[in-house]
Amino acid sequence: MNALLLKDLFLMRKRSGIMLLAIAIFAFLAGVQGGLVNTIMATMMPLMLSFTTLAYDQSDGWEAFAAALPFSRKHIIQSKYFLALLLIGLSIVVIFAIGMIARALPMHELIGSAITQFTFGAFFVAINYPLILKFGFEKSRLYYILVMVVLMSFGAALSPLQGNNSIPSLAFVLPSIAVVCLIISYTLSVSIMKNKEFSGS
Amino acid sequence: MDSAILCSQVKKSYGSFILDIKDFSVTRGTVHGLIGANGSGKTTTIKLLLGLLFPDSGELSVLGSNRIANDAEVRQNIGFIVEDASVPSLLNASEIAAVLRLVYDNWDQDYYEALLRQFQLDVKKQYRKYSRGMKVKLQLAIALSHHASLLILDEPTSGLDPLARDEIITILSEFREDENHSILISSHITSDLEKLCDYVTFLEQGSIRFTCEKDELLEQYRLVKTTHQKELDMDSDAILARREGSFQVELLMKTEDVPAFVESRRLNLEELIILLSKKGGTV
Repeated sequence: MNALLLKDLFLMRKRSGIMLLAIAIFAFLAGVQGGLVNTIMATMMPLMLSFTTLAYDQSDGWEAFAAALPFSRKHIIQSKYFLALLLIGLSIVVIFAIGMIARALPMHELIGSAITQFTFGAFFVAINYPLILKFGFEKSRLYYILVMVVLMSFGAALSPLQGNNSIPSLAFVLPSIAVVCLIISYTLSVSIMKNKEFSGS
Repeated sequence: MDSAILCSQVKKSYGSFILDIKDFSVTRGTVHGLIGANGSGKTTTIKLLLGLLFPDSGELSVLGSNRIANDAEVRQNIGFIVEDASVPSLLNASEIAAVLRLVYDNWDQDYYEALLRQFQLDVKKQYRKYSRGMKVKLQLAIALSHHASLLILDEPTSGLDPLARDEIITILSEFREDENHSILISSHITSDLEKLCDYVTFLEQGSIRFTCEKDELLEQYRLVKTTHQKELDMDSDAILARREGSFQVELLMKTEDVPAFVESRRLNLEELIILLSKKGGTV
Protein backbone atom coordinates (compact mmCIF):
# COMPACT_ATOMS: atom_id res chain seq x y z
CA MET A 1 0.00 0.00 0.00
CA ASN A 2 2.96 2.32 0.63
CA ALA A 3 3.85 2.19 -3.05
CA LEU A 4 0.34 3.16 -4.09
CA LEU A 5 0.23 6.02 -1.59
CA LEU A 6 3.63 7.26 -2.71
CA LYS A 7 2.49 7.21 -6.33
CA ASP A 8 -0.61 9.24 -5.41
CA LEU A 9 1.45 11.72 -3.41
CA PHE A 10 3.78 12.21 -6.40
CA LEU A 11 0.76 12.79 -8.64
CA MET A 12 -0.93 15.15 -6.20
CA ARG A 13 2.26 17.13 -5.80
CA LYS A 14 2.41 17.59 -9.56
CA ARG A 15 -1.25 18.52 -9.93
CA SER A 16 -1.66 20.66 -6.81
CA GLY A 17 -0.30 24.02 -8.09
CA ILE A 18 -2.85 26.79 -7.68
CA MET A 19 -5.17 24.42 -5.84
CA LEU A 20 -2.81 24.39 -2.84
CA LEU A 21 -3.14 28.15 -2.59
CA ALA A 22 -6.94 27.90 -2.74
CA ILE A 23 -6.91 25.18 -0.06
CA ALA A 24 -4.67 27.33 2.15
CA ILE A 25 -7.00 30.35 1.76
CA PHE A 26 -10.14 28.33 2.55
CA ALA A 27 -8.42 26.63 5.50
CA PHE A 28 -7.31 30.00 6.83
CA LEU A 29 -10.79 31.49 6.46
CA ALA A 30 -12.38 28.41 8.02
CA GLY A 31 -10.01 28.61 11.01
CA VAL A 32 -10.41 32.35 11.51
CA GLN A 33 -13.97 33.13 10.39
CA GLY A 34 -15.62 29.74 10.37
CA GLY A 35 -18.52 29.38 7.94
CA LEU A 36 -19.87 26.33 6.23
CA VAL A 37 -18.61 27.10 2.74
CA ASN A 38 -15.06 27.76 3.90
CA THR A 39 -15.02 24.63 6.02
CA ILE A 40 -16.42 22.34 3.35
CA MET A 41 -14.25 23.77 0.58
CA ALA A 42 -11.12 23.35 2.70
CA THR A 43 -12.00 19.65 2.98
CA MET A 44 -13.37 18.96 -0.46
CA MET A 45 -10.58 20.57 -2.42
CA PRO A 46 -7.86 18.20 -1.15
CA LEU A 47 -10.29 15.36 -1.82
CA MET A 48 -10.78 16.63 -5.36
CA LEU A 49 -7.00 16.35 -5.73
CA SER A 50 -7.22 12.71 -4.70
CA PHE A 51 -9.99 12.22 -7.28
CA THR A 52 -7.57 13.65 -9.84
CA THR A 53 -5.23 10.75 -9.07
CA LEU A 54 -8.08 8.38 -9.93
CA ALA A 55 -8.64 10.23 -13.20
CA TYR A 56 -4.95 9.90 -14.08
CA ASP A 57 -4.91 6.24 -13.03
CA GLN A 58 -7.64 5.58 -15.55
CA SER A 59 -6.42 7.73 -18.42
CA ASP A 60 -2.78 6.63 -18.08
CA GLY A 61 -3.61 2.94 -17.83
CA TRP A 62 -2.15 2.76 -14.33
CA GLU A 63 -5.32 1.13 -13.02
CA ALA A 64 -4.66 -1.83 -15.33
CA PHE A 65 -0.91 -1.70 -14.71
CA ALA A 66 -1.46 -1.83 -10.94
CA ALA A 67 -3.88 -4.73 -11.36
CA ALA A 68 -1.05 -6.73 -12.95
CA LEU A 69 1.45 -5.76 -10.25
CA PRO A 70 1.89 -7.91 -7.15
CA PHE A 71 -0.91 -6.25 -5.16
CA SER A 72 -4.30 -7.60 -4.38
CA ARG A 73 -7.02 -5.47 -5.93
CA LYS A 74 -8.35 -4.91 -2.42
CA HIS A 75 -5.07 -3.15 -1.56
CA ILE A 76 -5.55 -0.75 -4.46
CA ILE A 77 -8.93 0.31 -3.05
CA GLN A 78 -7.63 0.37 0.52
CA SER A 79 -4.93 2.84 -0.45
CA LYS A 80 -7.48 5.15 -2.09
CA TYR A 81 -9.77 5.21 0.95
CA PHE A 82 -6.80 5.54 3.27
CA LEU A 83 -5.56 8.54 1.28
CA ALA A 84 -9.01 10.14 1.44
CA LEU A 85 -9.23 9.66 5.21
CA LEU A 86 -5.70 11.00 5.54
CA LEU A 87 -6.65 14.14 3.63
CA ILE A 88 -9.83 14.64 5.65
CA GLY A 89 -7.83 14.16 8.86
CA LEU A 90 -5.17 16.57 7.68
CA SER A 91 -7.69 19.26 6.78
CA ILE A 92 -9.34 18.88 10.20
CA VAL A 93 -5.98 19.23 11.95
CA VAL A 94 -4.96 22.25 9.86
CA ILE A 95 -8.21 24.17 10.42
CA PHE A 96 -8.21 23.25 14.09
CA ALA A 97 -4.61 24.42 14.44
CA ILE A 98 -5.32 27.71 12.65
CA GLY A 99 -8.39 28.20 14.86
CA MET A 100 -6.36 27.56 18.01
CA ILE A 101 -3.61 29.95 16.97
CA ALA A 102 -5.97 32.71 15.77
CA ARG A 103 -8.30 32.28 18.78
CA ALA A 104 -11.04 33.93 16.74
CA LEU A 105 -13.59 31.14 17.18
CA PRO A 106 -14.95 29.48 20.31
CA MET A 107 -13.89 25.88 20.93
CA HIS A 108 -17.38 24.41 20.34
CA GLU A 109 -17.40 26.00 16.90
CA LEU A 110 -14.03 24.48 16.05
CA ILE A 111 -15.25 21.08 17.16
CA GLY A 112 -18.43 21.60 15.12
CA SER A 113 -16.26 22.49 12.16
CA ALA A 114 -14.21 19.28 12.57
CA ILE A 115 -17.42 17.21 12.69
CA THR A 116 -18.73 18.99 9.58
CA GLN A 117 -15.45 18.38 7.75
CA PHE A 118 -15.45 14.69 8.56
CA THR A 119 -19.12 14.25 7.70
CA PHE A 120 -19.04 16.01 4.37
CA GLY A 121 -15.66 14.62 3.41
CA ALA A 122 -16.82 11.08 4.18
CA PHE A 123 -20.07 11.51 2.21
CA PHE A 124 -18.17 13.04 -0.70
CA VAL A 125 -15.78 10.11 -0.89
CA ALA A 126 -18.39 7.46 -0.14
CA ILE A 127 -20.60 8.53 -3.01
CA ASN A 128 -17.97 9.42 -5.59
CA TYR A 129 -15.38 6.65 -5.35
CA PRO A 130 -17.59 3.75 -6.41
CA LEU A 131 -19.07 5.88 -9.20
CA ILE A 132 -15.64 6.81 -10.55
CA LEU A 133 -14.43 3.22 -10.30
CA LYS A 134 -17.51 1.85 -12.01
CA PHE A 135 -18.11 4.41 -14.75
CA GLY A 136 -14.72 6.07 -15.09
CA PHE A 137 -13.81 9.60 -14.13
CA GLU A 138 -14.99 11.18 -17.36
CA LYS A 139 -18.46 9.65 -17.26
CA SER A 140 -18.97 10.23 -13.55
CA ARG A 141 -17.92 13.88 -13.71
CA LEU A 142 -21.56 14.95 -13.88
CA TYR A 143 -22.46 12.89 -10.79
CA TYR A 144 -19.39 14.26 -9.08
CA ILE A 145 -20.52 17.87 -9.54
CA LEU A 146 -24.07 16.89 -8.63
CA VAL A 147 -22.92 15.24 -5.39
CA MET A 148 -20.96 18.33 -4.49
CA VAL A 149 -23.94 20.62 -5.09
CA VAL A 150 -26.32 18.35 -3.15
CA LEU A 151 -23.94 18.11 -0.21
CA MET A 152 -23.41 21.86 -0.14
CA SER A 153 -27.17 22.48 -0.28
CA PHE A 154 -27.75 19.89 2.40
CA GLY A 155 -25.13 21.56 4.56
CA ALA A 156 -26.62 24.99 3.96
CA ALA A 157 -30.07 23.69 4.92
CA LEU A 158 -28.71 22.23 8.13
CA SER A 159 -26.52 25.14 9.15
CA PRO A 160 -29.32 27.18 10.83
CA LEU A 161 -29.89 24.15 13.02
CA GLN A 162 -26.29 24.07 14.21
CA GLY A 163 -26.89 26.28 17.23
CA ASN A 164 -30.26 24.70 18.00
CA ASN A 165 -30.05 22.74 21.23
CA SER A 166 -33.07 20.66 20.32
CA ILE A 167 -31.02 18.68 17.86
CA PRO A 168 -27.61 18.21 19.49
CA SER A 169 -27.73 14.61 18.39
CA LEU A 170 -27.18 15.78 14.78
CA ALA A 171 -23.51 16.19 15.63
CA PHE A 172 -23.42 12.52 16.48
CA VAL A 173 -25.95 11.09 14.04
CA LEU A 174 -24.60 12.59 10.81
CA PRO A 175 -20.97 11.49 11.26
CA SER A 176 -22.24 8.04 12.23
CA ILE A 177 -24.29 7.83 9.05
CA ALA A 178 -21.22 9.04 7.13
CA VAL A 179 -19.11 6.24 8.64
CA VAL A 180 -21.72 3.64 7.69
CA CYS A 181 -21.86 5.06 4.14
CA LEU A 182 -18.09 4.97 3.96
CA ILE A 183 -18.00 1.31 4.95
CA ILE A 184 -20.71 0.42 2.42
CA SER A 185 -18.89 2.46 -0.22
CA TYR A 186 -15.58 0.73 0.51
CA THR A 187 -17.19 -2.72 0.27
CA LEU A 188 -18.82 -1.72 -2.99
CA SER A 189 -15.57 -0.33 -4.41
CA VAL A 190 -13.65 -3.49 -3.50
CA SER A 191 -16.30 -5.54 -5.26
CA ILE A 192 -16.19 -3.30 -8.36
CA MET A 193 -12.41 -3.50 -8.49
CA LYS A 194 -12.30 -7.26 -7.98
CA ASN A 195 -14.66 -7.79 -10.89
CA LYS A 196 -13.18 -5.16 -13.15
CA GLU A 197 -11.80 -6.26 -16.48
CA PHE A 198 -9.29 -4.20 -18.42
CA SER A 199 -10.19 -4.84 -22.00
CA GLY A 200 -8.89 -1.44 -23.06
CA SER A 201 -10.08 0.69 -25.91
CA MET B 1 8.77 -30.54 -19.60
CA ASP B 2 7.80 -28.00 -16.98
CA SER B 3 5.37 -25.34 -18.22
CA ALA B 4 5.55 -21.65 -17.35
CA ILE B 5 2.11 -21.11 -18.91
CA LEU B 6 -0.74 -23.52 -19.51
CA CYS B 7 -4.13 -22.81 -21.05
CA SER B 8 -6.79 -25.42 -21.53
CA GLN B 9 -10.19 -24.94 -23.17
CA VAL B 10 -10.07 -21.21 -22.45
CA LYS B 11 -12.92 -19.16 -23.84
CA LYS B 12 -13.41 -15.45 -23.61
CA SER B 13 -15.91 -13.38 -25.48
CA TYR B 14 -16.71 -9.73 -25.52
CA GLY B 15 -18.72 -7.97 -28.14
CA SER B 16 -18.56 -9.99 -31.31
CA PHE B 17 -15.05 -11.28 -30.59
CA ILE B 18 -14.54 -14.79 -29.27
CA LEU B 19 -11.21 -16.15 -28.12
CA ASP B 20 -11.15 -19.91 -28.04
CA ILE B 21 -7.89 -21.51 -26.95
CA LYS B 22 -8.16 -25.26 -26.79
CA ASP B 23 -4.64 -26.01 -25.68
CA PHE B 24 -1.65 -23.75 -25.29
CA SER B 25 1.51 -23.91 -23.25
CA VAL B 26 4.84 -22.17 -22.87
CA THR B 27 7.64 -24.43 -21.77
CA ARG B 28 9.85 -23.07 -19.02
CA GLY B 29 13.17 -21.84 -20.35
CA THR B 30 11.88 -21.07 -23.83
CA VAL B 31 10.82 -18.05 -25.83
CA HIS B 32 7.37 -18.42 -27.29
CA GLY B 33 6.02 -16.07 -29.91
CA LEU B 34 2.37 -15.26 -30.46
CA ILE B 35 1.83 -14.30 -34.06
CA GLY B 36 -1.33 -12.97 -35.58
CA ALA B 37 -2.91 -10.06 -37.32
CA ASN B 38 -4.46 -7.17 -35.39
CA GLY B 39 -7.59 -8.42 -33.68
CA SER B 40 -6.52 -12.07 -33.76
CA GLY B 41 -6.60 -12.38 -29.96
CA LYS B 42 -2.97 -11.83 -28.93
CA THR B 43 -3.65 -9.02 -26.47
CA THR B 44 -6.72 -10.77 -25.07
CA THR B 45 -4.64 -13.89 -24.45
CA ILE B 46 -1.96 -11.86 -22.71
CA LYS B 47 -4.48 -9.95 -20.60
CA LEU B 48 -6.04 -13.24 -19.52
CA LEU B 49 -2.63 -14.50 -18.48
CA LEU B 50 -1.97 -11.36 -16.45
CA GLY B 51 -5.35 -11.50 -14.73
CA LEU B 52 -6.58 -8.31 -16.40
CA LEU B 53 -9.39 -10.23 -18.05
CA PHE B 54 -11.25 -13.21 -16.65
CA PRO B 55 -11.96 -16.26 -18.82
CA ASP B 56 -15.58 -17.25 -19.39
CA SER B 57 -14.50 -20.88 -19.08
CA GLY B 58 -11.44 -23.08 -19.13
CA GLU B 59 -8.25 -23.19 -17.08
CA LEU B 60 -5.22 -20.96 -17.03
CA SER B 61 -2.05 -21.53 -15.12
CA VAL B 62 0.87 -19.12 -14.90
CA LEU B 63 4.01 -20.22 -13.05
CA GLY B 64 1.92 -22.88 -11.37
CA SER B 65 -0.81 -20.52 -10.22
CA ASN B 66 -4.30 -21.00 -11.60
CA ARG B 67 -5.68 -17.88 -9.92
CA ILE B 68 -3.28 -15.33 -11.29
CA ALA B 69 -5.65 -12.37 -10.77
CA ASN B 70 -5.45 -12.96 -7.02
CA ASP B 71 -1.96 -14.35 -6.70
CA ALA B 72 0.25 -11.39 -5.85
CA GLU B 73 3.15 -13.66 -4.90
CA VAL B 74 3.39 -15.26 -8.32
CA ARG B 75 3.17 -11.84 -9.96
CA GLN B 76 6.42 -10.93 -8.20
CA ASN B 77 8.01 -13.24 -10.76
CA ILE B 78 6.37 -11.80 -13.84
CA GLY B 79 7.56 -8.87 -15.89
CA PHE B 80 5.10 -7.50 -18.40
CA ILE B 81 4.34 -5.03 -21.10
CA VAL B 82 0.74 -4.87 -22.13
CA GLU B 83 -1.41 -2.58 -24.22
CA ASP B 84 -3.46 0.03 -22.29
CA ALA B 85 -1.52 -0.58 -19.08
CA SER B 86 1.15 1.88 -18.20
CA VAL B 87 2.98 3.80 -15.52
CA PRO B 88 1.69 7.23 -14.41
CA SER B 89 2.36 9.66 -17.22
CA LEU B 90 3.33 12.56 -14.95
CA LEU B 91 6.05 10.64 -13.13
CA ASN B 92 9.64 10.38 -14.29
CA ALA B 93 11.78 7.24 -14.35
CA SER B 94 13.30 8.06 -11.01
CA GLU B 95 9.92 8.51 -9.28
CA ILE B 96 8.57 5.38 -10.93
CA ALA B 97 11.51 3.45 -9.48
CA ALA B 98 10.82 4.91 -6.03
CA VAL B 99 7.28 3.50 -6.28
CA LEU B 100 8.20 0.12 -7.77
CA ARG B 101 10.97 -0.44 -5.25
CA LEU B 102 8.18 -0.74 -2.71
CA VAL B 103 6.26 -3.14 -4.95
CA TYR B 104 8.83 -5.75 -5.93
CA ASP B 105 10.76 -7.71 -3.30
CA ASN B 106 13.66 -8.22 -5.71
CA TRP B 107 13.81 -4.75 -7.20
CA ASP B 108 17.37 -4.17 -8.43
CA GLN B 109 17.93 -0.42 -8.52
CA ASP B 110 21.48 -0.73 -9.90
CA TYR B 111 20.30 -2.87 -12.79
CA TYR B 112 17.39 -0.51 -13.45
CA GLU B 113 19.72 2.47 -13.59
CA ALA B 114 22.15 0.54 -15.82
CA LEU B 115 19.31 -0.24 -18.23
CA LEU B 116 18.18 3.39 -18.26
CA ARG B 117 21.75 4.43 -19.09
CA GLN B 118 21.96 1.79 -21.78
CA PHE B 119 18.66 2.97 -23.26
CA GLN B 120 19.78 6.60 -22.89
CA LEU B 121 16.63 7.54 -21.02
CA ASP B 122 16.47 10.85 -19.19
CA VAL B 123 15.49 9.91 -15.61
CA LYS B 124 14.12 13.37 -14.86
CA LYS B 125 11.87 13.57 -17.89
CA GLN B 126 8.17 12.82 -17.37
CA TYR B 127 7.04 9.55 -18.91
CA ARG B 128 4.42 11.34 -21.04
CA LYS B 129 7.18 13.35 -22.72
CA TYR B 130 9.02 10.22 -23.87
CA SER B 131 8.75 9.06 -27.46
CA ARG B 132 6.99 5.76 -28.17
CA GLY B 133 10.35 3.99 -28.32
CA MET B 134 11.51 5.49 -25.04
CA LYS B 135 8.26 4.48 -23.35
CA VAL B 136 8.69 0.87 -24.44
CA LYS B 137 12.30 0.89 -23.26
CA LEU B 138 11.29 2.19 -19.84
CA GLN B 139 8.57 -0.44 -19.58
CA LEU B 140 11.08 -3.09 -20.54
CA ALA B 141 13.53 -1.79 -17.93
CA ILE B 142 10.74 -2.08 -15.34
CA ALA B 143 9.85 -5.59 -16.50
CA LEU B 144 13.48 -6.69 -16.19
CA SER B 145 14.54 -4.90 -13.00
CA HIS B 146 12.93 -7.20 -10.49
CA HIS B 147 14.54 -10.34 -11.92
CA ALA B 148 11.31 -11.96 -13.04
CA SER B 149 11.50 -15.50 -14.32
CA LEU B 150 8.70 -14.95 -16.83
CA LEU B 151 8.25 -12.05 -19.22
CA ILE B 152 4.86 -11.54 -20.85
CA LEU B 153 5.25 -8.93 -23.54
CA ASP B 154 2.54 -7.60 -25.78
CA GLU B 155 3.87 -6.05 -28.99
CA PRO B 156 7.00 -4.61 -27.36
CA THR B 157 8.59 -3.76 -30.70
CA SER B 158 5.55 -2.35 -32.45
CA GLY B 159 5.96 1.21 -33.69
CA LEU B 160 9.72 1.25 -33.08
CA ASP B 161 12.47 1.97 -35.56
CA PRO B 162 14.69 -0.97 -36.61
CA LEU B 163 17.54 0.16 -34.35
CA ALA B 164 15.37 0.34 -31.25
CA ARG B 165 13.78 -3.02 -32.14
CA ASP B 166 17.18 -4.60 -32.47
CA GLU B 167 18.23 -3.18 -29.12
CA ILE B 168 15.16 -4.69 -27.44
CA ILE B 169 15.66 -8.05 -29.14
CA THR B 170 19.26 -8.06 -27.92
CA ILE B 171 18.21 -7.38 -24.31
CA LEU B 172 15.61 -10.14 -24.51
CA SER B 173 18.16 -12.52 -25.99
CA GLU B 174 20.38 -11.87 -22.97
CA PHE B 175 17.44 -12.51 -20.65
CA ARG B 176 16.73 -15.88 -22.25
CA GLU B 177 20.27 -17.10 -21.67
CA ASP B 178 19.19 -18.14 -18.18
CA GLU B 179 17.54 -21.53 -18.59
CA ASN B 180 14.92 -20.71 -15.94
CA HIS B 181 13.75 -17.67 -17.82
CA SER B 182 10.76 -17.84 -20.14
CA ILE B 183 9.26 -15.28 -22.47
CA LEU B 184 5.85 -15.07 -24.09
CA ILE B 185 6.01 -12.34 -26.66
CA SER B 186 3.33 -11.24 -29.08
CA SER B 187 4.03 -9.35 -32.23
CA HIS B 188 2.84 -8.90 -35.74
CA ILE B 189 6.45 -8.12 -36.71
CA THR B 190 7.40 -11.70 -37.45
CA SER B 191 11.03 -10.90 -38.24
CA ASP B 192 11.53 -9.95 -34.58
CA LEU B 193 10.00 -13.18 -33.44
CA GLU B 194 12.07 -15.18 -35.90
CA LYS B 195 15.25 -13.85 -34.29
CA LEU B 196 14.11 -14.60 -30.78
CA CYS B 197 11.65 -17.43 -30.52
CA ASP B 198 12.00 -21.15 -29.96
CA TYR B 199 8.30 -21.76 -30.52
CA VAL B 200 5.59 -19.89 -32.35
CA THR B 201 1.83 -19.97 -32.04
CA PHE B 202 -0.24 -18.55 -34.84
CA LEU B 203 -3.54 -17.02 -33.81
CA GLU B 204 -6.25 -16.26 -36.30
CA GLN B 205 -9.67 -14.83 -35.49
CA GLY B 206 -9.46 -15.86 -31.87
CA SER B 207 -8.32 -19.45 -32.45
CA ILE B 208 -4.94 -21.13 -32.54
CA ARG B 209 -4.13 -22.22 -36.08
CA PHE B 210 -0.95 -23.98 -34.96
CA THR B 211 1.81 -24.13 -32.41
CA CYS B 212 5.17 -25.36 -33.61
CA GLU B 213 8.87 -25.24 -32.91
CA LYS B 214 10.09 -22.38 -35.08
CA ASP B 215 13.07 -24.11 -36.76
CA GLU B 216 11.03 -27.23 -37.37
CA LEU B 217 8.26 -25.13 -38.88
CA LEU B 218 10.65 -23.32 -41.22
CA GLU B 219 12.26 -26.63 -42.17
CA GLN B 220 8.91 -28.22 -43.06
CA TYR B 221 8.13 -25.86 -45.94
CA ARG B 222 9.75 -24.58 -49.09
CA LEU B 223 8.86 -21.81 -51.50
CA VAL B 224 8.94 -22.97 -55.09
CA LYS B 225 9.28 -20.40 -57.84
CA THR B 226 8.34 -21.81 -61.18
CA THR B 227 6.55 -21.16 -64.45
CA HIS B 228 2.86 -21.81 -65.02
CA GLN B 229 3.85 -24.49 -67.50
CA LYS B 230 5.93 -26.43 -64.98
CA GLU B 231 3.23 -26.07 -62.38
CA LEU B 232 0.98 -28.18 -64.57
CA ASP B 233 3.46 -31.07 -64.23
CA MET B 234 3.31 -30.95 -60.46
CA ASP B 235 1.00 -32.80 -58.07
CA SER B 236 -1.73 -30.24 -57.34
CA ASP B 237 -2.45 -31.80 -53.94
CA ALA B 238 1.11 -31.02 -52.85
CA ILE B 239 0.64 -27.30 -53.51
CA LEU B 240 -0.49 -25.80 -50.24
CA ALA B 241 -0.74 -22.18 -51.29
CA ARG B 242 0.17 -20.11 -54.31
CA ARG B 243 1.07 -16.53 -55.05
CA GLU B 244 0.69 -15.26 -58.56
CA GLY B 245 3.52 -13.28 -60.16
CA SER B 246 3.72 -11.63 -63.62
CA PHE B 247 5.84 -14.32 -65.26
CA GLN B 248 6.17 -16.86 -62.51
CA VAL B 249 4.16 -18.41 -59.77
CA GLU B 250 5.26 -18.95 -56.15
CA LEU B 251 4.10 -22.13 -54.50
CA LEU B 252 4.16 -23.22 -50.90
CA MET B 253 4.99 -26.89 -50.55
CA LYS B 254 6.08 -29.33 -47.89
CA THR B 255 9.84 -29.86 -48.19
CA GLU B 256 9.47 -33.55 -49.02
CA ASP B 257 6.96 -32.81 -51.80
CA VAL B 258 9.18 -30.44 -53.78
CA PRO B 259 9.96 -32.09 -57.17
CA ALA B 260 13.57 -32.28 -58.33
CA PHE B 261 12.93 -30.31 -61.52
CA VAL B 262 12.16 -27.01 -59.75
CA GLU B 263 14.18 -24.66 -57.61
CA SER B 264 13.08 -24.01 -54.09
CA ARG B 265 14.22 -22.04 -51.10
CA ARG B 266 13.56 -21.82 -47.38
CA LEU B 267 11.00 -19.20 -46.37
CA ASN B 268 11.30 -16.70 -43.60
CA LEU B 269 8.65 -16.72 -40.91
CA GLU B 270 6.75 -13.78 -42.33
CA GLU B 271 6.44 -15.31 -45.80
CA LEU B 272 5.43 -18.62 -44.30
CA ILE B 273 2.76 -17.11 -42.08
CA ILE B 274 1.28 -15.12 -44.97
CA LEU B 275 1.12 -18.17 -47.21
CA LEU B 276 -0.20 -20.42 -44.47
CA SER B 277 -2.90 -17.85 -43.77
CA LYS B 278 -3.99 -18.24 -47.38
CA LYS B 279 -3.85 -22.00 -47.13
CA GLY B 280 -6.30 -22.38 -44.25
CA GLY B 281 -6.52 -25.46 -42.06
CA THR B 282 -3.71 -26.53 -39.76
CA VAL B 283 0.00 -27.24 -40.13
